[in-house]
Amino acid sequence: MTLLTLSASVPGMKPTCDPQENCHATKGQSTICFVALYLIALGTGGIKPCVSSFGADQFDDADEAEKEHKSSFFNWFYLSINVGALVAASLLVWVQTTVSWGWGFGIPAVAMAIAVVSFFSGTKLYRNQKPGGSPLTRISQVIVASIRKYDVEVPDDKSGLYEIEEESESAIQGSRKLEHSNGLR
Amino acid sequence: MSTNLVSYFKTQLNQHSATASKNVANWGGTCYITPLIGAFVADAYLGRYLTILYFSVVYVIVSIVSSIFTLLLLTVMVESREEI
Repeated sequence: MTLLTLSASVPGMKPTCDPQENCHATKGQSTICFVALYLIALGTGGIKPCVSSFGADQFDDADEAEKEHKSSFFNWFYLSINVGALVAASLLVWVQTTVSWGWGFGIPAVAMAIAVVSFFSGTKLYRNQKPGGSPLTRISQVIVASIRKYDVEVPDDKSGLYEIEEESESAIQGSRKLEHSNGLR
Repeated sequence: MSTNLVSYFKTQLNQHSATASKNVANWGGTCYITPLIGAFVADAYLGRYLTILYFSVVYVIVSIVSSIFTLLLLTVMVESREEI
């Protein structure tokens, strides 16, 4: 964002325009702009899938009051996303076309900086879930195990099935155990 | 961001309409693919908090460093122009 704002506002980085309003961007200026854009894409990639699930991590489903807070949290979350999209599509486009491109990219850059600072100021209050290791390993484990044991007979009682020692937590760190089901017999 | 990007490319970077919308579509597509990478990294190795932390910290550092770099480059360009 910072880079994009610079590329749209710093005179030497800004494409030069002649009186007929034809702009001539150099190769370097275009490159800076695209590098900035794809860095934004990468940053989005790390943040987008995590914020909503990180928000859900903050509430304990076993607690009734927290469960209620969670659905309220997601209501506000989607409200702010949509209000943000509305402002971006109306006010910011207006700023970009009538005021300047520098401000048009600068306002979201400042907003993003404020958001990042306020998110990290709450660090001590957050609940963190442990990562569970690569899912690809577990998927291949399931495939290998089901091939190797395809001719083993399924016991009628679930106590005959393999089970790990722990009561509530599964072998995957930080995940809940799944109940045995009769649905796939 | 992407709402007005086509007109930015057209008016400021002097791109043809087709090129501009191709570039915006490519970028938009990348924005939809990168969360898959981020999600995998978060679930498998880093956890969500650290993923958000690293991606935004790396992001901020890269943008600040490259802004400083480009600013320095600009000064060098201006100085060399003055020498001539």
